[in-house]
Amino acid sequence: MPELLFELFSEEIPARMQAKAADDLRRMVTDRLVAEGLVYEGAKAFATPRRLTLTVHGIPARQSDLKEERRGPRVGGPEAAIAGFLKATGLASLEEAKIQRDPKKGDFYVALIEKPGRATLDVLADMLPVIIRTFPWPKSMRWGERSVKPGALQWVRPLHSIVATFGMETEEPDVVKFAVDGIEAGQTTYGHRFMAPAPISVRRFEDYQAKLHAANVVLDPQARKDIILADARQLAFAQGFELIEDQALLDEVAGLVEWPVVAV
Amino acid sequence: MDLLPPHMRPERSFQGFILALQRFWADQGCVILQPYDMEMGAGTFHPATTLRALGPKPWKAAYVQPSRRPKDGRYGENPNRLQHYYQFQVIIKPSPPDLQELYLKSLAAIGIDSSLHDIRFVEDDWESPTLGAWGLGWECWCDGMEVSQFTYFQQVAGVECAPVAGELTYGLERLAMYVQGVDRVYDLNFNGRDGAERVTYGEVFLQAEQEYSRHNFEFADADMLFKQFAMAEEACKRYLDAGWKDGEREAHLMALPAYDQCIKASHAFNLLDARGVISVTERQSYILRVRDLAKACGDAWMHTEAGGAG
Repeated sequence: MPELLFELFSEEIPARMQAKAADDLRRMVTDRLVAEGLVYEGAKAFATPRRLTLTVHGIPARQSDLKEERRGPRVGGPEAAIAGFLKATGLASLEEAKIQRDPKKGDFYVALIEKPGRATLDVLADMLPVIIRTFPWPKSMRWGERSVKPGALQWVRPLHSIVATFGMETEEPDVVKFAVDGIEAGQTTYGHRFMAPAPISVRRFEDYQAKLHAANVVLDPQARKDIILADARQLAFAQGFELIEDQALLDEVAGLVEWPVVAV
Repeated sequence: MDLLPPHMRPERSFQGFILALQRFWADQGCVILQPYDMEMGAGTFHPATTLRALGPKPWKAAYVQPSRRPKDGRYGENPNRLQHYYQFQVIIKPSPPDLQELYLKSLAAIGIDSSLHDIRFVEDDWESPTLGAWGLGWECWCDGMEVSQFTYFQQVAGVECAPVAGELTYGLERLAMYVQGVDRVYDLNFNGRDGAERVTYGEVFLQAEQEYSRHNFEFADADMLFKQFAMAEEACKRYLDAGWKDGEREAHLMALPAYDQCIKASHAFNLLDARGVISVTERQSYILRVRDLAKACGDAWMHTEAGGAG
């Protein structure tokens, strides 16, 4: 089944906000997918100083068609109630409605409404910009030329680019087509600020993570922490020092670098 | 970079360092201003930042601002605390999309190569209670040391910035110490010369640090400063009132002179604070009084031509 790759690439996100932001992104996207009837298999979100990334796999390519029965007024009920029922359900006349027998309360009309499911790609194109615009940063800001307009996009620091692709593992994925405040979603991201700043074209999470790694970005914060801690222990040991471990400091440093290199 | 004579190289001369920054930002289209001719606590107080950050008109400027922080004096005995030091200030409105890249290039221009040094942007929410201003950005670290502040102004003098301006502030002494490799500010080579021709930062400023520390902490005339504060506050309000054209609140003709009085009041307060004659509760009320002046000046500025009115 198809998967979503979603990356929001920005200027440096405060270290203390990254973990919650990744979590918020995962929660917001998956909650809305479920609310749209799109039950997914799994989702994982990551943060680095310059990006929030979400991958959701096992999302159906389309919503299923919806069949809904809606109960209407009783047979022979007031005209206004019947007119309202027809309007609300989109039926042309009462002939399209079913009559449900009820010996106690009297017979009433029932409308059968069929709503064809939409392509997930379209659902995502509507959903993702709303998530960006309503993202719960503890503090957000405006920037640049567009900041003069009312309703200008707010983000934790200036947002530069968006990757949003959706598709099957075996095929070239589609770009989820949307734009937020002039930033169009696409397939381009960037590597490490100093070591590999060139643009990178990505398709889905697998090649995305590998290409970022080749461009000196360790996407997973836990992996960055592991590297820092293991290297710090080893270097300290080699030089006969004692490492005083500090989890809060480790969390912060892992939120300040995309490519950790330990030096003693 | 073209070939500079050795005494002008940013890594060996404090003045060459300043000139390299000025040249870099001139090449980005900034007007290079000279310091504002009043005592102020930071480059942000210069009207070229505080007032020009407001209103719709584009603005690009860079300048050195001598910054006076009376409380930070240490009688010349601390290797890097000064009651008078230099800030280099850059303000660009609207903030360009590549401001971070420009900043990194400016570091390269003063001899800090980002492929050799660990440069990071670390969260710093900037707020100036006396200016009624706030913004988001970072402290910029070079090998773990803070060397600049980088702020996207959101509000200044109580006015929403529209568009947002980007502000960079370089602590010049600290950066130059790093680039020159000295541990004591007074050991900085000021003019880039050797031997008998060499002039150090200490030769230029050490005596001033000693004298002003004595003045700020022990002898500054508190009675006079209280009066100066009150007079500046009063004058600021009077100029603001008188500045409305034809008495209508549509166009203002004296925002800048009024703002000078706000700067004066702020500095008098800083001196009183250093002198230790303001209690904790009074302190807050003085800050609010300066902020009220700054806000009223910001409002007046928005009704001037440079502020975008009319």
